[in-house]
Amino acid sequence: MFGKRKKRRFGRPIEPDLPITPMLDMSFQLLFYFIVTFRVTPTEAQIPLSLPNEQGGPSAAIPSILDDEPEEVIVQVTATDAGGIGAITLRTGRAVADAEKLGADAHVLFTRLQSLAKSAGQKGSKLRLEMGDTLNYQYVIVLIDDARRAGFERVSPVLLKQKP
Amino acid sequence: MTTASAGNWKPNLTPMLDMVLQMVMFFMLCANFAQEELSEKVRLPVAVEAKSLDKNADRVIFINMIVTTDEKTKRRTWNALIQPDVETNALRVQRNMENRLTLYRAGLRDRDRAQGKTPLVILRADKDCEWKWVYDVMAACKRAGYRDVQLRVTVVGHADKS
Repeated sequence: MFGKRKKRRFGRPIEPDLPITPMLDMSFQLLFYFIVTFRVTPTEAQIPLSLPNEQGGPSAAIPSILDDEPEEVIVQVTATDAGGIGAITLRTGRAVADAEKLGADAHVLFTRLQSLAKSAGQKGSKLRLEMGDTLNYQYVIVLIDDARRAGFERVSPVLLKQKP
Repeated sequence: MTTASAGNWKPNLTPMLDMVLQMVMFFMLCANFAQEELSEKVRLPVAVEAKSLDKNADRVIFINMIVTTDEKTKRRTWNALIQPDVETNALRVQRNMENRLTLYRAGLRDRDRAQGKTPLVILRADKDCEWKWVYDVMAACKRAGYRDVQLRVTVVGHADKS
């Protein structure tokens, strides 16, 4: 039971020799790989749209937010051949005579929409954004974004009907 | 600085190893591993005021729209990649896309009928796309029975410089 106990030697402690160099080499290789493949991705955001809840439909179905509600503000944007904004027309009523030409500057439209939204009863009303076929998608987003920033929460982006 | 005999001098590599491992950890965490649904070819348009992403959407379909050139006609056209799908096909014709979306929705219907869920369509269109192309895709989504569409944009300040 009480056998011979091995006598502990108290001498110089053993220093383990851990080879760090290969680990460092490997770490540098990993670091190099991650640095080379590193790319800062842009932050994405969303613009939500709701399509009408119906099955099928004609081929020229218009995705708008609420089809049954009449539009109070209609913005028509034509496109140039290069995809830029040609001309902007703003209508606040059904009559064509109410059309207001705003040139080709989106900022002018934004200012006008802001004043419309601030006026009583216009805030939260539906805005129909009719845009030309060849309009660049970047401008489409700018126009939708401007309309939302101006105070119109319900924006319906649709195709501009071509004149016969 | 202490002087050591030339034969016994050993540099202390441990702090350097610590530093390197910390940097490796940082780059590993920040690394973007391949996300199939987020095509890097798509250069998103820039918006000033857009909502942050909703991470709670569990049923999503990604549609990536990129601008290409038709080799025969040399005209600008578009390609679409739909994810998640069994196979990722480049679909040029809108009718094909509508069929694919309808099939995909039909496949999900059984699983989601009880919960009344409709998949969310996330549309990532290149900023150089024409409005008609994007509109046609949205119209196809509508005809296929989808209701919620999300247009993906890049918020100002994080725009791709390319």
